[in-house]
Amino acid sequence: MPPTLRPVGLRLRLLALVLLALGPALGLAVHTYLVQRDEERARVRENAVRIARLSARAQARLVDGTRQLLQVLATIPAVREVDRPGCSAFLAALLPGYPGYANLGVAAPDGSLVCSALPPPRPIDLSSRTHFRRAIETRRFAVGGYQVGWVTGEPTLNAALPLFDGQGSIRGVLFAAMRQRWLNDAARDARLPQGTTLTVVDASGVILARYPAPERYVGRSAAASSLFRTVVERREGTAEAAGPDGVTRLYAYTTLAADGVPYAYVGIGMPHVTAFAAADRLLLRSLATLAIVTLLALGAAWVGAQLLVLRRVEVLVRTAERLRQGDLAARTGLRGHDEIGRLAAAFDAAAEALEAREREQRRQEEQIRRLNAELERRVAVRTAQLEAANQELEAFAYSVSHDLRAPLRHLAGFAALLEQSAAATLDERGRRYLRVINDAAANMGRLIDDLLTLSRIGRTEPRREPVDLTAVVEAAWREASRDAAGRQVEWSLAPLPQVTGDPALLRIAFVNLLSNALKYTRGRPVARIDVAANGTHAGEAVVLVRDNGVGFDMQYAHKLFGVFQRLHRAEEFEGTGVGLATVRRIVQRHGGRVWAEGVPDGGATFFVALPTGGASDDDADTAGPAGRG
Amino acid sequence: MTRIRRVLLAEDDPNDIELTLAALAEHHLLNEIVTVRDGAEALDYLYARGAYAGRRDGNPALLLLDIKMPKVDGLEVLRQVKSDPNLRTIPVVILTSSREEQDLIRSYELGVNAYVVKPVDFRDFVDAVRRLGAFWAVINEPPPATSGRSSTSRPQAR
Repeated sequence: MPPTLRPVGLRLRLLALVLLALGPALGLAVHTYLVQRDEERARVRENAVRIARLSARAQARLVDGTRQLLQVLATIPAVREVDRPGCSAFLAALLPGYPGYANLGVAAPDGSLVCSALPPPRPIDLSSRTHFRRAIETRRFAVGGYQVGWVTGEPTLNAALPLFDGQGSIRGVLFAAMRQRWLNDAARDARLPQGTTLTVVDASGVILARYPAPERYVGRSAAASSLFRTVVERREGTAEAAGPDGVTRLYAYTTLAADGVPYAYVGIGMPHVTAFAAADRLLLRSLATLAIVTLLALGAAWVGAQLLVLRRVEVLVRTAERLRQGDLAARTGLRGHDEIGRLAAAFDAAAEALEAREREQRRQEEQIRRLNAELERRVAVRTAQLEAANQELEAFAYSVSHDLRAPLRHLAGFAALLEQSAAATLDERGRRYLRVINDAAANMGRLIDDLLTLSRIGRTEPRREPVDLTAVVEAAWREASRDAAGRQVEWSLAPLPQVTGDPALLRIAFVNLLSNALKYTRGRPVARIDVAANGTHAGEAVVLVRDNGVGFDMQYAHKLFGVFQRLHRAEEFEGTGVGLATVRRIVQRHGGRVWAEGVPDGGATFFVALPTGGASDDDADTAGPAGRG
Repeated sequence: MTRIRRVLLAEDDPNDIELTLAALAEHHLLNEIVTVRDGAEALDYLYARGAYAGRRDGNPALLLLDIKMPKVDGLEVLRQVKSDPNLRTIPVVILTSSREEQDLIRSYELGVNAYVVKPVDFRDFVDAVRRLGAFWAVINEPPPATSGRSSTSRPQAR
């Protein structure tokens, strides 16, 4: 079961890629939305200003109406004449017909009240009132400040119109107190959005009218607020500030002026939230839509990644897994000219090559196995042959040992018996003949022995053990010198190095060398034989055997070690001619060398180089004849 | 020199027999020598059976054995002699031409008392026989005569 793939890395990267691609578009969209919102907000502001203006116009209309009214009233004789009692009665009768006015009246140029629709509760002095003074000053219609109606107690906005006599001097000031309640109604009717306030403020900052909750605000001064200062300064526009109730609002304001002199400011206050609600809603909606679209895009990318890319990647991974576990026939089976398709194709090709290589390798292994088996078989056959040959040789040597010697013994024995029994009847020549027969038989016996020794050396594997050459040579000397009793022989043996080899075989070799030395020094009055070490070099120890005998001609040195090769006449020196061949074979079987130097009649020196050992040979473990019973 | 009492010589070659007898005679070593021609005859003699059924004169004092004999060879005779409690005490000297190591090993494994290689040279052979005689007749103590057969020695001039 292949492990579940969690290619989160690749998927995330793909999604990131999608986001990256969407990035500019998203950015642009967001930017557009923000711009839209700002435009929307601007529109809102404009709207607010428009509403303010409308409200202002309403107020202005009222003021204008008041002006017209006052101008009309100024034509009424009762008023014009400033006829106290008549004017009051007239105005009083008129007032109910103009519910928008709290009062109508006339004041003397000094400010004292002449007549009024509403009877004053006490003497009233208008000289300080803005509208009065301005009317006097400008000699025109003027609007004044806020005033609490003295009878109704309600807030009023006052306007004044100067009355002129025939000469053009001011006879009196006609004033009207405009109710502000109408504003509330108007505002209400305008159906301003929830939380919108409508405020009318006079030139000094006193709140003339407010909707909603007029009673809380009317009469209070807003002069201290920075908003008021802004309004006075800018006259028309929008501002965002926190109102007296703490709610941040968008304020749109405009100025009411008479003859260029502002007498009132109208402000619409919309709560931020409400004001920009639509704009913000629009933005949010757009952003939400954008987010949804983005999520949809990412979702599509997620799924698409799976379908278009990851699925195929998973196939690749699973195939690789199968390959790793040993199924070399696994292939992706993916096609396509895109990168993954090419990757899959390369992968399949690699798997193909791997499979082919493994098949090839197996084939080669099989071949090697077969060759090995064949080799083993051949080796076994050869070994069997060799063993058979060896055994034949063994039997041959055995046979030689026994069967060749017996007739020889008979030869020698009966010749000796003959010599004994027929000594009397034989002459010197006969006796000599017998001696020759005996000697020949003895010779042949020795030859057989030597040949047997020689062959035995070839048949067996020499031992490989540390050999004390000094001891071996001493033993060899004892054996070789047995026949030298009675002779003058001086021999020396220097300490010899240790070598690796077969002590028995080495003894035979040195017996031969020393026997030779003894034999060929027979002619000397004092035979001198020296055995010494000649140095150890590169794993080889060289030993020499030197004698002061007849020596030999170096010209024939190469013949020295051949079988049956002799460099001297048989009647001078007996011998089988096998001794040195035996020495050479023994030394060679030890991995050494043997050579000689001689001077005719000047002695001879035989050199033997033997490995000092240390390196163990595995085939040395095969036992020699001792192992065979 | 005291003489060895009866000696059993097992040798198939007549020439070798003659030579051995001549050598032994030269040193006047023998009282009595019995010759058998092969291993089977040797065993027949030792066990007093076959052609030698009814022999009553006990074990020989020395057994000279050649190795290569027809029918039963010397090593087989040696084996039988050394494994038989009645015959085990007979000293056995192998007298042979072979110096082959395998013969040596086998002989000693079977318990031979001595192994002598016959030299080719007759004088050497005679010398070896003399020394053998010196050993067996003079130095060596023969085993006490036991077994169910009485042993008598009859001086016999040659």
